[in-house]
Amino acid sequence: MRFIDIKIRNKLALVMMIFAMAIVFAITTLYYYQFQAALKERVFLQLSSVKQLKVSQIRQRLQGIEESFIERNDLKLREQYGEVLFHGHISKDTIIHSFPIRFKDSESVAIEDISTHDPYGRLTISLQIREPEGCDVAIVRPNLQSILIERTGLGETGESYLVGSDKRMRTSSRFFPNQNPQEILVDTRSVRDALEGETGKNIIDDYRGVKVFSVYELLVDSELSWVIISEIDEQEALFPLSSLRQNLIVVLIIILVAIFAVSYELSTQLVSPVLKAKQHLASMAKGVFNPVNKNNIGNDELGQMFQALNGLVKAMDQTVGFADRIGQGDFDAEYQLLSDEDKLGASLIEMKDRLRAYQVNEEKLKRANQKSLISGEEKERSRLSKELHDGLGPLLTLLRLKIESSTIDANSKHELLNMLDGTINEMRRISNNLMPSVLMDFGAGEAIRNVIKQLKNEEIKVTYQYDRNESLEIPSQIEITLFRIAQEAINNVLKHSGAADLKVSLTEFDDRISLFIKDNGTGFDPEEVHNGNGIRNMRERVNIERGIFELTTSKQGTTIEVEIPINEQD
Amino acid sequence: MSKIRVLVVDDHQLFREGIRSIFSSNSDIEVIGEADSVESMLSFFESTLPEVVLIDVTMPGGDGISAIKQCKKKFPTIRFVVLTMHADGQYVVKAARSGAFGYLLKNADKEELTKAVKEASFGRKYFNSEISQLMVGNMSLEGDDPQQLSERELQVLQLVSDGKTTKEIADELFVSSRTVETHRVNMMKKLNVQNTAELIKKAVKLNLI
Repeated sequence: MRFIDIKIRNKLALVMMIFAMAIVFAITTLYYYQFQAALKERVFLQLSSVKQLKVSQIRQRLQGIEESFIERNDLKLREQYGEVLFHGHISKDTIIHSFPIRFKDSESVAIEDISTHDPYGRLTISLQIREPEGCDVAIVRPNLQSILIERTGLGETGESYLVGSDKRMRTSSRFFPNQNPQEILVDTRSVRDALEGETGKNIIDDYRGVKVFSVYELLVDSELSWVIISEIDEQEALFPLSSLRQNLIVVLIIILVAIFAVSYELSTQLVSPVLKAKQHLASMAKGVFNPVNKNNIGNDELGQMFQALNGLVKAMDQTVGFADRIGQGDFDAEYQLLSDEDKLGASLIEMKDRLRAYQVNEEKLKRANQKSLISGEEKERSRLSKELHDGLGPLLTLLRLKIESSTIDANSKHELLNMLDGTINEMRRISNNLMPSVLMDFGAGEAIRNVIKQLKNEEIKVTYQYDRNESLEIPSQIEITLFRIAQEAINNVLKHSGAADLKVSLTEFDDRISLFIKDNGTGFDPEEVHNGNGIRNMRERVNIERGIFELTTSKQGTTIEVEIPINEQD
Repeated sequence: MSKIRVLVVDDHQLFREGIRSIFSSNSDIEVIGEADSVESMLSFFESTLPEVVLIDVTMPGGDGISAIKQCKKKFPTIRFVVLTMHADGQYVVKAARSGAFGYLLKNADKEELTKAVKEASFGRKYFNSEISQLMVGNMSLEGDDPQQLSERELQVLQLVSDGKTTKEIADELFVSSRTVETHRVNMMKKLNVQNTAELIKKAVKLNLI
């Protein structure tokens, strides 16, 4: 898995953890080493003070031995300072073979380490002081072990011991208490450095090969030359360090866990808006445009991203709204392009324009269709009307003439003529109903007048006002339209309204004709008109002529207003 | 006394023959010719002028009433009697205006037909009561000077000057509000004014109200 493929949340957590771990590790390490250095310092200090104590105790004891020797107080020597193997006068000439004593020339007490002569390697010294004849000699096995064995401040593994200039132990080893110290060679750096006369401290491998903290000092007294060493195993000395290390590891683990939790939480919080944005984008891809709740938006970069997202949502909403309105056929919808690059918006606008053009064309076609349908129907009516009126009519009148001039008896003639007059009137009525010739020859104003004239016998008061405009040339299809509407409307009033009063006016202006029909009847519910499609037909006819049709109806009556423009034909 | 010479103008041959047979036994009236259209009538006039012409209204090639108006000046001696199927007042009015001496429906009695021809020949107009009835209500005003205000417009003007609203005027004149508005605008155009106040001022000046 590549780094880039890791989820941002994990990526952030990982980076934060690595970073935090590096810092914690560095700090811990630094602390550890500082602590270690301080601890070493303290161990050395401790060892040094222990060593110093031993040195001063040993010096004190040696001095005590020396004083007792000078006072010849053997009792005191024995009681306080150890075993006295020999104390007596020896002349210069005497050769004492049993004791490796060399005569010294000094005036003061000469002390010498003669432990190597002891078969068990026990610490043995000789003391001599010049006398007029020979010298006074004592061989003492001083009880220094008791000083050295005192291990206060040295823990479990600490010890102090003396090493002779031959690098062999003079006091017994704590670790090998039964072994002849003489047999233990202590050829360590401490011993070597101390024999050079240096006082110091060091971490070295001791005579056992164990790593120890070691402090050393050369102890010189007269002919004596011992190295006093205090040592403690590194393992014990640095035990606080290892416990510290354990603690540190525990702390480190706790910190790591905390960091892990914190960084995970933090990165989750950082990433959650990104996830939210992702969900939003995904839902937008599915066509759902919900804006992000503004209360949840901060002002940081993520907040700005959400604001940008909201901007996108808004823009998309606008576009969708626009598309929706187009979809619902509202081609007057306005749309502001979001930018010059708003291809979707531009396409929608183009689509709208095309659809509008299509719709206009469609309406034109529809109008033309309806027009030709209606005009076909009217032509047919007109033709039939003419046929009856001008074809059949004269034949009937001719028949009348024939009957009139025939020689049948007067009664029959009268009866026949009456019947024939009835037939002719019926023929006229039918022809008139189909298409009144007055409509074609005198226009709608006169044709409507005739319709109204025929209502004289009805129980309704009809007022008709016709404002003629002689200079206006009205296309016959408009005359027909106006007449048919008036005819239908008047019929409706008579049949359904129960009106007592009907007012009809036709006004011819220079550029339009206005038809107004008003009754004081009971009105009707335009939603529930069941008397055929009369009103729809009226509306359609007006629409074909690009006119205005308005119908208002209430319980106080019904008003129909029609206005048809002239000279606007396509 | 010579017989009244009659020309029958109708596009139906059978009908023409019918008329001819009616008058064949008549001692006062003689059908001297027939024509099936306005055109053939006019060419007949080139050779012979009848006293009375019985003419139909609706014929292919031109209607009879318009022909009467045409011929009135050119042939002042000829008396036209309209003989038609049209039983509408408008045709009667138009025929009378055009100078016709009579108006008969084709289903008229023989006696009536004879009477009308005779009356016409004497220079008297003949419109029987049925025809006169048809004319009533059709003698509407005609030929207004377009620059003058129409009667309707004067009504509107009066109501406007009375301080009535458009709606009130519309109710009173039983026209639509739109129509009242159009009248008002047309009047302002005709009197060359810009608004209603100016319109009333000018109307007062012209003694229109």
